[in-house]
Amino acid sequence: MIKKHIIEKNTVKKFDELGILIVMIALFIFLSIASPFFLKIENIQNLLLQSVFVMLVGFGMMFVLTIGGIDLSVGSILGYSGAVTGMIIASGGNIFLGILAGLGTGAAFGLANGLLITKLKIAPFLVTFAMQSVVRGILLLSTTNGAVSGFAAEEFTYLAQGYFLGLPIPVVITVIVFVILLFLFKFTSFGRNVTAIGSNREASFLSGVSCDKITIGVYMLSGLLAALSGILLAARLTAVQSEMGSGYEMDAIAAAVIGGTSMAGGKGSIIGAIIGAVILGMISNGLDLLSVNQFYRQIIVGAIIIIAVALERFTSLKKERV
Amino acid sequence: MLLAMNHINKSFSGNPVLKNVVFELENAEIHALVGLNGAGKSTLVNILSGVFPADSGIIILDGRRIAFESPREALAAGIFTVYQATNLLPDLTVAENIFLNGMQKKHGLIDHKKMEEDARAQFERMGYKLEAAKKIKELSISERYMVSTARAYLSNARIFILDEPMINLAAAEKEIFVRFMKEMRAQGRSIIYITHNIGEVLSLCDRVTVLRDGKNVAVCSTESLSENRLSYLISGNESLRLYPPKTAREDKILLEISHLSLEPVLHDISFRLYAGEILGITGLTGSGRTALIKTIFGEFEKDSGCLKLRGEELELKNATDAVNHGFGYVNENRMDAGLFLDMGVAANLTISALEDIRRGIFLDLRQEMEEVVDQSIELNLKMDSLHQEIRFLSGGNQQKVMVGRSLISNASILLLDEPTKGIDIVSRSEIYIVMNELAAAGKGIILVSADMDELAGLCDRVLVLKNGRITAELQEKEFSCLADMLA
Repeated sequence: MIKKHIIEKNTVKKFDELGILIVMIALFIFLSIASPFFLKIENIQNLLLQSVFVMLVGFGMMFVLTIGGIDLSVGSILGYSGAVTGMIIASGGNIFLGILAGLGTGAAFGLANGLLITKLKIAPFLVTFAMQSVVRGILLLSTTNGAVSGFAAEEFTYLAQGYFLGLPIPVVITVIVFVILLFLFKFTSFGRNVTAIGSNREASFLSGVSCDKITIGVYMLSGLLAALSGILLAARLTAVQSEMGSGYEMDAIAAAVIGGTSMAGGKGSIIGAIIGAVILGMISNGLDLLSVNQFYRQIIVGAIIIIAVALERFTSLKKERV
Repeated sequence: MLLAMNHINKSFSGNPVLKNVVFELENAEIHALVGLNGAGKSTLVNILSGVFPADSGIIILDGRRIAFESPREALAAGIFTVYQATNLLPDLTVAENIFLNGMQKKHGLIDHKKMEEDARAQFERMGYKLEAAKKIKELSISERYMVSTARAYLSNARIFILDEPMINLAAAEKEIFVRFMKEMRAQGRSIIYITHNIGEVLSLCDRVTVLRDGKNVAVCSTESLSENRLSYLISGNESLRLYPPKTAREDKILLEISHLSLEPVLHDISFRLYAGEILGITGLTGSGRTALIKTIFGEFEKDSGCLKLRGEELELKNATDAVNHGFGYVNENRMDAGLFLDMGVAANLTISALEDIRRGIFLDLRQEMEEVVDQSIELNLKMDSLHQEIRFLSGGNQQKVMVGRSLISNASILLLDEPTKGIDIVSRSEIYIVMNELAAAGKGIILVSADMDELAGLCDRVLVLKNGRITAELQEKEFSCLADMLA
């Protein structure tokens, strides 16, 4: 049957993330040779643990960038959501309730971002840039008497410090989140519509896609994931400083972009965001192990972003026909 | 001879696009360059205008061998490409754009007053009205093209390259543009004219070069050339029939519009669309034809009037609502408002039908592929794979995907706004066949078009819009007076 043949011919899909995966493997091999400590179980556990906080935020950023937006407020949301959970637990509240409140805080700020962007039609860059400032301000106010602390109940810190099957709990949580998001992105109409809106908003609207609802959903997701990361980070650090999470937005953008997500929208990859976050983690980890000044991290991260984008550009140019 | 391009070869990533192509241009000649999408026309003129080099071949301009490395060099040698709108700067004024390459200065500063005066004088010579101090981004597509034309007038180029110049122009602007071409020819300059419009080739051009699959098929004078002969040369298909035989409409009213108004563009519009009918709507630019479609589709909110679908009154709040009620809309502007250029062919086809191919909360990718394969066979899509990004397809195939999108979402009423604008005759005939099959299956199609032949070839009835009102409803035997009704 011709039809069956065509379907089979077309189910073999190319693996877009191959280029950057090779970069990751190369870095991995280099570090294994350069440092005798790199391949130690503890170090690998540590590397993964360091990477997942940015990775979670990077997942959300991947969705936001793919829809053609940007979310600069995630760093502040991460910090404040962690603080909300911390304050509730510290004041004797239920741990479960505290976590729920933290997640709710993140989603609520995301909802605010989404509403401002879609209903008032303000550019995402400006809305989230302003939101970053507002939320950081709220966090600073809540920490005027020093960092939020006193919430280190064992059940809560277990979230960040415990292990399951040899993996740190945050890593396990991230894997679960990854699987859910992968399905959301690849196998639901929500995911398909996110890509469509990022690719051509006007055409999506005319094709019957509810652009506003989906956009709001994406910013809520981004806020929610930032909050999750913030809560895990709070559990790990057992205190929330006023500056917690600042700069995470840039690392999250870096992770997404290194992984092949387009800043112009219409193209994103969840697996790419994982690879991107692990590469960022390996750079920090490697510099530590090799006792190199951490300031080099900035330079190397910048270089890798350019290499990743150039790689992508090069491969897509080869496909192009005029 | 002014220009000779000999044995030009060019491939892109191993695929030959031009094979030993020869192209010659005389002084004072309007020379049509025609062929199906993908025949190599654009590649050939891109080589001439320095966008990219040929792999091999010789280009001789005025007896000297040349090879431009950038569009700038080509421009300096007198080869002027009139782009649709892409090379105008949206934030500068009309006057600034016209004199972009030679701003007039006084005491070292740009003399805006003088520039605007000169621009105004130029438009006056062309017989066109346009405010020279307006910014380009405030202009319509056709006004922008007139700015490009004014710029072309003021250049001292010897060769003009025009790619489908008339496609977005209204009748009056077309006239100005034709005058431009004839004046240039009278001054001894030459024009390379790329088009899919066979009528324009025969009426405007002196000679025609036909390319097919990257090879020369014919070079001949247009004087003794017939329409059929030219269609055959382009398509290579002797029995190509552009329009399929019409089918009879059913006696069932599908859509009834009564007293629809959208101030100030539409006034008291009433008509019926029957099942199985292809209803034509025509009118000049500004007659409200696109606004009418967008109002029916729920994109514009009507002021008054009522819309009945199969006898039931319907209030469409927005485009999503319309799609859910079985409307499909193919926008006239497929690049800006139709295609998802970064996405694959399959995803482009199914975007309006995602609700139907779900199992639980997940998309049923297997079912999606089945539908997509059915459609791609039906539409005769030419592509490497179903996941190929749609920007790599030819214009005709892209347009077929646009129509296919409404088919997969099972739309019962199709609103097609200029569905065959700028695509070649083979793709056009394929789209017509699909439209015809849909009508035969009892769906209703509203075809908005400015192409009288197309309307006459497909429709039983044509409504004429003028200043937002329906001024006439023509039956088949009255189609000969279509053009008069518009004026």
